[in-house]
Amino acid sequence: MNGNGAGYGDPGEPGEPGDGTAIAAYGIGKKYRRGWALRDCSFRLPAGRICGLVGPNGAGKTTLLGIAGNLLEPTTGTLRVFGEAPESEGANRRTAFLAQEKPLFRRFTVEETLRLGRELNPGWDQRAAEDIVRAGNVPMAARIGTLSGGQRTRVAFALAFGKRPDLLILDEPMSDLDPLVRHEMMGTLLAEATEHGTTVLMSTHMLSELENVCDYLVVIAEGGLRLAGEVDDLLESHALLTGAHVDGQLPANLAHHTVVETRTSGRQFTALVRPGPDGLDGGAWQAETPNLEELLLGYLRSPQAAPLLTPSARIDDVQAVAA
Amino acid sequence: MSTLTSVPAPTGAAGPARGLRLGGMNWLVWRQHRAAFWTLLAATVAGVLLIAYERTQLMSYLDTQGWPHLKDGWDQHLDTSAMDRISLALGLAPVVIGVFLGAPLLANDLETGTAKLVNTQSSSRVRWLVTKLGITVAVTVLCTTALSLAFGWWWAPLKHLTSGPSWDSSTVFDNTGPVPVALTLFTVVGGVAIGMLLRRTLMAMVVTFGFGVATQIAWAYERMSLGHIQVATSHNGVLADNSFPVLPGSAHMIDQFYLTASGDYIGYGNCHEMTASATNACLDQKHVVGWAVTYLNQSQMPGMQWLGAGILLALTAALAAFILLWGRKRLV
Amino acid sequence: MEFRIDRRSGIAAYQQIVQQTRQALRLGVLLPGDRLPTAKEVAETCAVNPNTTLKAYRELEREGLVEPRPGLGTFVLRSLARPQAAADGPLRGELDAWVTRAREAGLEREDVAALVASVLEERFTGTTVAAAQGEALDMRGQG
Repeated sequence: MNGNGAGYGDPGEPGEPGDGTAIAAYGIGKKYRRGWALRDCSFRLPAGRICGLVGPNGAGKTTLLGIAGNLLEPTTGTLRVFGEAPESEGANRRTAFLAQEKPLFRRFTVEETLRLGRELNPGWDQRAAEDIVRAGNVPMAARIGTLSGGQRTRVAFALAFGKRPDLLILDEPMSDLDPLVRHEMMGTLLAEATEHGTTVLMSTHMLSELENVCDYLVVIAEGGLRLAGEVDDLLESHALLTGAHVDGQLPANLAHHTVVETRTSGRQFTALVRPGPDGLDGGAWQAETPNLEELLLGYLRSPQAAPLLTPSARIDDVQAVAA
Repeated sequence: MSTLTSVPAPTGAAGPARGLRLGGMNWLVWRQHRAAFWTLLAATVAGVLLIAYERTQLMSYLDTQGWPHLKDGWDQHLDTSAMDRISLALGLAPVVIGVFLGAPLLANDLETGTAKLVNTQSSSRVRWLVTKLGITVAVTVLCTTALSLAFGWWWAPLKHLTSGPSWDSSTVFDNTGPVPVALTLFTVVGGVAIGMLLRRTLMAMVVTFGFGVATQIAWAYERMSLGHIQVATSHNGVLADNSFPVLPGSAHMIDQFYLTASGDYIGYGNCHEMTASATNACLDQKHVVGWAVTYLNQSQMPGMQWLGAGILLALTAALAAFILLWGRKRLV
Repeated sequence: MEFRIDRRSGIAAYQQIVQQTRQALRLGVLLPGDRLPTAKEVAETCAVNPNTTLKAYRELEREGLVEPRPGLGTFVLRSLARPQAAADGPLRGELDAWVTRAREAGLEREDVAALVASVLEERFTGTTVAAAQGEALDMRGQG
């Protein structure tokens, strides 16, 4: 284990989790018969983060997760999980993957499903898996086919956590759950990740799942990377400007900044910008730090805006060569 | 529930021996397909018991006829319809097992997503494929071998007799020796490959049914091409009653020709003239001296069965290799 | 001690944790020596990223209110409770009497809160207005 598990449980430690790299993607792309699902994605996910992977439907989220989870091979580029190829035994052992449809054997009992995990995983933690199942009062002798959607998700979670992964990949984990179960499962997910220092990468298109849950963000749209980095850093490197425009003419000095998106409504304009080196002073506008929703919507609505990666998310050439 | 947190020891090594204890991937594959496996094993036991019963019936009849020194007319009341009926059922076995065990083996996992579930655990995809194929092949071989041996044992008393199903009939040839094992394996592994490519259980079962039937038809056509053709000749002309060469009693006759003085075979449709004298003149003119008959002797039976089974098993191995190579990269 | 994170309040989750901790210290719900919930416990009950909780605790630590003890957790160092503000204190009694009178005079809950907020703003200008408002709202919630 990578030893950063204690970091969370003990608030005395600095908040920075282990500085290892959980996922490094070097220009990965995936082409299907109908075209490219993912193109030239390069980013780094530091270990110990809880990372949201956001994008519209069909943006390539599932493809990216599948490559990291060793279910797909990239057409171009390479991806490393803790420095190893996804198909390597080492990476395979350290990664757990929860597919969107949460597949389980319908005729197996809950107990047999956990036995599956025990039989196939050398590092299996039966107690952790059982605790998660028990917390939802799911009977161990019940067949999977007779369980409710929430209970089935819980069993799938138990199977994923019982593997004691260092990297947990979840594809739309909460999409078919009612709000109560969703809150509960998110709590379980975060608590487990906190206790064991697990890196979590989960895709979603529900902003409410991200707020307060993720501390890292990867945004893709139309197969390309839009944003990657710490949520706080990403928010702070943007400003939401509001002011009055003159006959549709936006203030000229707006051009000193990288404009992600502008919208006008009546006499008012709103612009999501990345402030230039001179700062935001001197403009006829009011500047605020955007919230997560404003930032994401801005980028998702403006696919032509230049992508932004914070330093911790960048893959530099030295690493690329070393890989 | 125990507070077991450590890794259980690998298969068989843990705890007191409790007979056969499956572990790891073997456990999973057996658990997933146990209904099909148990059904197959149970059907096999039932089949073997039925055959054993029928054989006692046959033997008690033969005993009344003085077995092993049978009296004349011993076969007047011999009834081998049970043998034909059971062989017909056994002939369906490759298709049925292929459709219900082979086709869904991977297709169902691919369709329901459980292939993803298994392949995101710690064991490798090749291991999964090998175990699935391995256990399925093992169960299939066990069952078909048992049935083949039972059927061969039932037929054995009739083997060198002139009545009852002969060695070259599908009843006997396809249900004894290595043939049923190879036919079934080929259909089952073919069904697995079809399921892997189609990724839909129902469609895979339908296509596998067609594949199994086509295999049976091709086999029925080619079965007797597996032998080494033998020729019997006679030199007493072709018109006399006793001019035909004597073949071994249980030989499988393939074709007959006129034999000429130069040793050539010509079709016996030649010289089909209106009058006897015209026929004779024709035969003289073509220098026909007797008959040439091509046949397969019963002694060739095991060789033919093994040759055919060998070809099928080689094809099966090629299919299995294809499944591993394709599935290693592209499954899920 | 259990935090309540309101996702629609517009206030960052870590600030909500800071505010609620201060509130608890003020009301005597938390006393010196008490252990704050661990990041894991907060994550489990509130579905909040552990880093958020740690960020809040670091802020409280900077204010000298709590102290991390490695391997044990985060502990309350000093209370914000003032005797006057205690449940049986004279100030609270006076406020209670005043609110009762306001109610008898026909004021709704919102009217009272607005009145209190405006007086607070007048008296505490220059200090953290937003925080005071937030606290006023919290008190109302618990009233």
